[in-house]
Amino acid sequence: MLSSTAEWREEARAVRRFAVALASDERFARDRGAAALVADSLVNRALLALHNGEGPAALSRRLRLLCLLVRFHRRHIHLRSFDEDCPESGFAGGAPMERAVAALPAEWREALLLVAIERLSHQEAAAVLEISLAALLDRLARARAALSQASSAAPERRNAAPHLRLIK
Amino acid sequence: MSAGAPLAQALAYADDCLAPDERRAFERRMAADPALAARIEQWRRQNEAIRQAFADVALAESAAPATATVPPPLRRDFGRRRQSPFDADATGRSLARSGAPPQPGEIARPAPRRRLPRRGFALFAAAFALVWSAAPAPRDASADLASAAFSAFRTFADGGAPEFATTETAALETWLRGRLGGWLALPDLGAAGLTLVGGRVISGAEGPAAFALYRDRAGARVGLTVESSETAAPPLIRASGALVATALAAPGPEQATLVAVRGEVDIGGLARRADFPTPERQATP
Repeated sequence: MLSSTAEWREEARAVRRFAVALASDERFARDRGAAALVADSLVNRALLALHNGEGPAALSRRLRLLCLLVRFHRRHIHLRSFDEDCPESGFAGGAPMERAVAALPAEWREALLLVAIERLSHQEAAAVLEISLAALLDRLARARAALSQASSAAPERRNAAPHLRLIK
Repeated sequence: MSAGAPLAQALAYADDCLAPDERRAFERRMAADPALAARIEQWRRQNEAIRQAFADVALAESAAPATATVPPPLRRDFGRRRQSPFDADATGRSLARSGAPPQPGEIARPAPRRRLPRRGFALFAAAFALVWSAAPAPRDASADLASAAFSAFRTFADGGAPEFATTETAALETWLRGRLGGWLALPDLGAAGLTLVGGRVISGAEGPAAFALYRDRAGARVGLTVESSETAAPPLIRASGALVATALAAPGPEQATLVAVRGEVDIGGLARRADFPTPERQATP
């Protein structure tokens, strides 16, 4: 039988922050609210699939749940990419880091969030993403470089010349 | 990155993945390489900034299981509940029973409600306005149902034998009810010229769902997903790639969606000819 509602809620709560961050993709979500709706749906599906015994059997329950969450998210963005109203026009609101994370490619974001938010080791993150350790390190390095570039570009934009000219 | 410090080790140090002795050795290397130390510090600040950026995700709003064992109110649709045909009578009767029978010349009306104090009402209105303004825009649940139907068709319509192979609708209903609950009812598509191939349990848009596969006389495949949902899907024909889908009008809590390959089947005509069981038939075990 299914786990109790309390257990279900507890497991959903544990991964919700990761799920919302994962779904914060500027191509498919306008803002945090839209990302949260997608995240809740993904968490529900992943928990149901976990209950049905899906996911890599060699992993712990927590890692299997994260693995299923990533799989469902990949399927979600694959299906959304067929929609005519995509892509969205940027991620509105939020902290600069939130927008920078939303602008990352999904594969880089998955790797970075597993390490930064879920605090998984590199071996665990590679197992969750079903990739090699070398591939994970490559994605992490690229994601971190992109974030550094985004954070250095932001002050430049702030200091850019104003559109209005001073007329004497 | 300096040549003496491999990227993997630097990333592992920044993410706290090194063993204590490796960590101490790396710290000695960092002490001799300020550029490396600065890079590591930047990565650690990134990790902290990411955690901070998503720290305020409302944990209490986490998802609830949408399964047959969990009562339907947990499957929220932003507080709205579609009124079922069974509710209409109950509402009328409860009004009639609410007080003493009306006297001649008196108008029957429900019992008066207790009036809230004015201050309480103002607080309630303010709280309601706050919640309403903070609530996200209502999602299009019918699109989710169609999306789940497309996924199921792509996954299961081609792949080998179904989980439960039968040509009898009643047998499949019995098998599915044992797994999904008594709410399930399947429409009769025999009149529309379809033959049942089998079915299985799938992960739907909001919880567990049923998927049935049919074939028409020409051999074209037609998928049917049935899910318990309180959101009625409009009978629109939606497309995704080579597939088209439309919702069937169901009298009960089921939301049924037909899917087929575009051009192979007249899915709109099928939806019109589908015979969904009445609530009385559904109640029959």
